[in-house]
Amino acid sequence: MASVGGLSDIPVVTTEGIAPDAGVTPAVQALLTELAESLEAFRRTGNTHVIDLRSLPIRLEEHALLRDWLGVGEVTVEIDSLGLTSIHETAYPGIWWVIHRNREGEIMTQQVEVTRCPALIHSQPEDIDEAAARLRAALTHTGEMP
Amino acid sequence: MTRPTLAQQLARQGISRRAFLKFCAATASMMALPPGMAPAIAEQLGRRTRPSVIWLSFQECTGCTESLTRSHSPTVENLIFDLISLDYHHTLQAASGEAAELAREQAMEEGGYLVLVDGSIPTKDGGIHSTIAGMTNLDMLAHTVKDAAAVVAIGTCAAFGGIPKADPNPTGAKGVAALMADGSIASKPLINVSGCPPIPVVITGVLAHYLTFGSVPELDNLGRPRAYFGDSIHDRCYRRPFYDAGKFAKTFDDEGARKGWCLYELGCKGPTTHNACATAKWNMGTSFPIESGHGCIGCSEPDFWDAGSFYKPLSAPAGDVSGLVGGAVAAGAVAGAAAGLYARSQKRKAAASREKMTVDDLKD
Repeated sequence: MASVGGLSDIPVVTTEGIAPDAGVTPAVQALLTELAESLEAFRRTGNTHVIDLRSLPIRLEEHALLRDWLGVGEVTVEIDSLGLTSIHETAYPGIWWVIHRNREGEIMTQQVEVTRCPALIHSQPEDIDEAAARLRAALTHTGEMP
Repeated sequence: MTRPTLAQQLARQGISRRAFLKFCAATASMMALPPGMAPAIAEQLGRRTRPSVIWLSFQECTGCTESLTRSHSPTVENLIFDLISLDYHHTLQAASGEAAELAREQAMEEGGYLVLVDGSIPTKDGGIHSTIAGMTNLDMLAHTVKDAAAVVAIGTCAAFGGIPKADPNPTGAKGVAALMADGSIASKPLINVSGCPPIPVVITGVLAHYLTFGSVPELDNLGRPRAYFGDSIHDRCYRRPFYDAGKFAKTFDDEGARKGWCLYELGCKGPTTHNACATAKWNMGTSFPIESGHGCIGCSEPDFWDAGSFYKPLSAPAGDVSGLVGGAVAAGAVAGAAAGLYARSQKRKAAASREKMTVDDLKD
């Protein structure tokens, strides 16, 4: 085990955090810093990152603060699947905001994803398999090709 | 006949893979797992066959079933029940009488099923104080647990005996763990989901964990899942800054109470109670007792009903100490220590001879 001579021998690394904003709480600031680092890591390594807001001990008002700070970008997606899931790209491409609702319209969880495109938006291989078979069957049934 | 996998089952019901992935994301969140695990959960869950679940209700108030049917993510009528195939449940099933008992026997034939129990089990006088279809609860539980894969005791009654066990315990009520310990029923992997009732999302989260991993989650020393019972209410309470600053409400309608100060002096049992109320909260994350202005009553702990007044602080003795420490109980470390020692012996006595709550307790 390496021994450290004294406190001054411990290397200190500073990272640029988000500048403190009058309306941002410490928890939101910490999350923004985490997102900034995740976005940079994604650029370097391609590793995606997901923050599940429901699991964090922050207040609902702070969810809204974070969402407002990140803003809304060019893409909004609504997925009607066992209830509505709303996804939008924030004003920072690569950072997406995901809200999962159940069939009663209640919010199940809110997540922030650092990725090119959230997996849920893509068509799934299993669904494509089923669609191919279904389309072929429908065409055969009508007895004519387009 | 091989049972279909969950993925096959859902596909047949017209539920897309995308919907299944969304469900797994919500499940990961519910199980307090890293959200990046959702694809792995989808992979695992999709491959499993639909397990049978038998729900046995014994000496209970039906509050735990009420709590489960308020679970909202995902809704009980939807995926969880589709996934777990609830083969037997008095309140929720359509069949009754002999048809219902036959359903239970059929579900048991294949073995490897999950048994959920709510309510305590009476053991006095041969267990005759609660019977179903002429069978004592104890016999039904012993018979059903024999070939089960695992047992989940839902609610403080099933976990620790609960309110029926409160002194003088006229029916000889016991929890499932106690019956496994004394050999009355077979020993099986057991998860205690305590609470009176438990928080809905905790019930479904535990079921989701079992479905996904096929195993019991990490448990604390009382057999409760650490993911939900690892922290005390006090550790995660939003009023903790007031406790730390020494700001306490003295009555339920004083300035401190109106300002939302700590409820320690009004009897809050938060420091000695482990549950997820302060984070997961109740009624879809709306609130929990402390946030509504009433101290925690410790309902997820064993024998909470016999642990002294809900309205006297934890540091105060459960009985009259004016002769011992001269009155001013709450002030001074020495008085507090002496009171603490006295309180412990009084609590043992209170457990032996139950203290009835009086109007004076409310006046403190």
